[in-house]
Amino acid sequence: MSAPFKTAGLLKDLMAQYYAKGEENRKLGIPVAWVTAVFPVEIIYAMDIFPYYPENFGALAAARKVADKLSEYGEQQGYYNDLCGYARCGIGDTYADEHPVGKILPPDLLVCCNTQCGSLPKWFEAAGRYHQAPYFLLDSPLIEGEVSSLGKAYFVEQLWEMVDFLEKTTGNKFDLNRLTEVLKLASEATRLWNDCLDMAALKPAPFGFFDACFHMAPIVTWRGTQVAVDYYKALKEELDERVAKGVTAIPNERFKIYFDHIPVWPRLRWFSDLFADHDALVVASQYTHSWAHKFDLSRPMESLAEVYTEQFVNRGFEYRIKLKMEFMERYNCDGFVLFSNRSCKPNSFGLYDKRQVIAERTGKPGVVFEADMSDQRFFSAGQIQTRLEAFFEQLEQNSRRGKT
Amino acid sequence: MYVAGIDIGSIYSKVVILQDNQLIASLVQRTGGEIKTASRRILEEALETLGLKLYDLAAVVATGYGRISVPFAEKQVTEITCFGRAMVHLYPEVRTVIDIGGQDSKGIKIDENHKVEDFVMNDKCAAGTGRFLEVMANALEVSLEDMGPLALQSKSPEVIGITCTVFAESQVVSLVAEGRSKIDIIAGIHQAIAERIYGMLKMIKIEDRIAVTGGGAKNIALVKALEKKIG
Repeated sequence: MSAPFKTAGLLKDLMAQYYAKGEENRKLGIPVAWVTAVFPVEIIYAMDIFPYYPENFGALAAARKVADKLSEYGEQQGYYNDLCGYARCGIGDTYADEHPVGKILPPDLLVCCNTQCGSLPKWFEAAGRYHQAPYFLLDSPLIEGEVSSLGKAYFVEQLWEMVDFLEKTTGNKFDLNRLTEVLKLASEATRLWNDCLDMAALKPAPFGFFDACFHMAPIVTWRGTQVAVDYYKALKEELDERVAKGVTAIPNERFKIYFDHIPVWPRLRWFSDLFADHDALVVASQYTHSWAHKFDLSRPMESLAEVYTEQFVNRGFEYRIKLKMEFMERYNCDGFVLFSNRSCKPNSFGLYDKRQVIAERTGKPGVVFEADMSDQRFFSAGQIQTRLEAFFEQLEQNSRRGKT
Repeated sequence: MYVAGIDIGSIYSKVVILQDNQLIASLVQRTGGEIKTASRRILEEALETLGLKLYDLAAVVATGYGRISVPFAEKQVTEITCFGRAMVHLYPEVRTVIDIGGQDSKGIKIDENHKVEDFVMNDKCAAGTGRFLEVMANALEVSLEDMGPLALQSKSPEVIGITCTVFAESQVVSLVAEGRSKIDIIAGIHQAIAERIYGMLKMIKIEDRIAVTGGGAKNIALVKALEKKIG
């Protein structure tokens, strides 16, 4: 990973404030809503509800290497270890008698969108029952080929139903003008985030995917607020400064790599060091780009429906291949690494076939490895290292033959 | 000029010593516990047969699962790339290598320039590898070397599950207790391994000619079962 960012200190303060704010807000009468990461949170912000992300809690626990411990408490309740690591960890925390990364904030209400997967709705449903809090599910139809206007209309209809649900549950009023303001801020933050991510295309780059994994918290949590806009302005400035001073993400960048998709949080450093040791920088992932979208302010609800239903996890095989290939082209990648994540079935589905198709179409080497994004018990270092090193050796071979 | 290659596998370690590209010594030993000392011991033993010392070697390259723990190696290279290189010398016409090792089975595609074009390996689970065969041989109280020849005698192999080595072992033990033919059980084990490896190989396009390497290559029944699968 890169030398420490100045912005990193700011991020730590912001996150600490965010976690503290939940309980404070509740006391002030601001309801706490559990939300999912790829969800029209802009509506939540526009209605002055406090959004809380249990997935972030999972990522935090995973990065601190305690997700497996918390998961065990969930497993003791019968949640099998094949389920999503974030869900097991979040459920486990509810039942745990130890809280090494703080306690997950109980919800007043839960809202969820299944555009990411089918595990989140089940987790939220169970949490809703446990906390006796009302739950609303936004159903995003799968898009196998073309986007259908019917699917979009179905989602827009549900957005209005959700607004109704939120008004009834919280007593707060929805205002379309306020939503447009929030969308404006969200668009500004996502634009800045995208600009930061694009810096990884420079060679050598001042910033890579593993850095982005660290700096993505505000775009997930605060998109739609001034906080996110200010944060990414500061980050972009720092990145420009780094470019001017010649500060690079890794000492000797020779290869640019596309990575799919979530990082192995408890081994983030292990991976970033292994890549850096082989002069390889991971420059892009569809994961960090999940929040690099644009809104059309002239039609807010339709635009929200488009952005959140047309996310990659909700798309067909061919679309996902094309998306990866587009990133590889845009960031001038020499190869690609696909992480078959036990926790994330929808994204791991067909990964071996995707690898084959992408390798054939691009002529670039690619490798699949298996692990879990949060649970260290599914990590086998020797196996993964051999795969990745053989991949690095392929890059070297190609480079010697002047193919890259 | 003398050079050495050392392969620290999960079960066996192997050493080769070359003089001006000619093989002059080789040695195979069980890896045992501590890799750092084991790797030095096996290399020194091989050198001893030639009356050489470690400092006589111009270069040492380490490969295999334990490659990162060989302190005196100049370079660590994965088995995958090493197999590609080895075929240049041994069988230049080979395009697909099937390696059946202790804890890994691999399929490696080599292009006409002897570059690794593609590869595939078993994921964490070691069912379908040499270790699996070893566990089964122990459970059946048959020596590992006899497993292959015995399997070839079977007319109706048993069906053995291969999702998990531990489960397969208890299945084998129950079949023996039921009085089923050991030979049919052994044949079933070989078929199960071959199926698993073949399933994995389908992820890379198998091309002629094919070489089988690793401890599994010494097992005639396994090689024949794979031949039958590949056609």
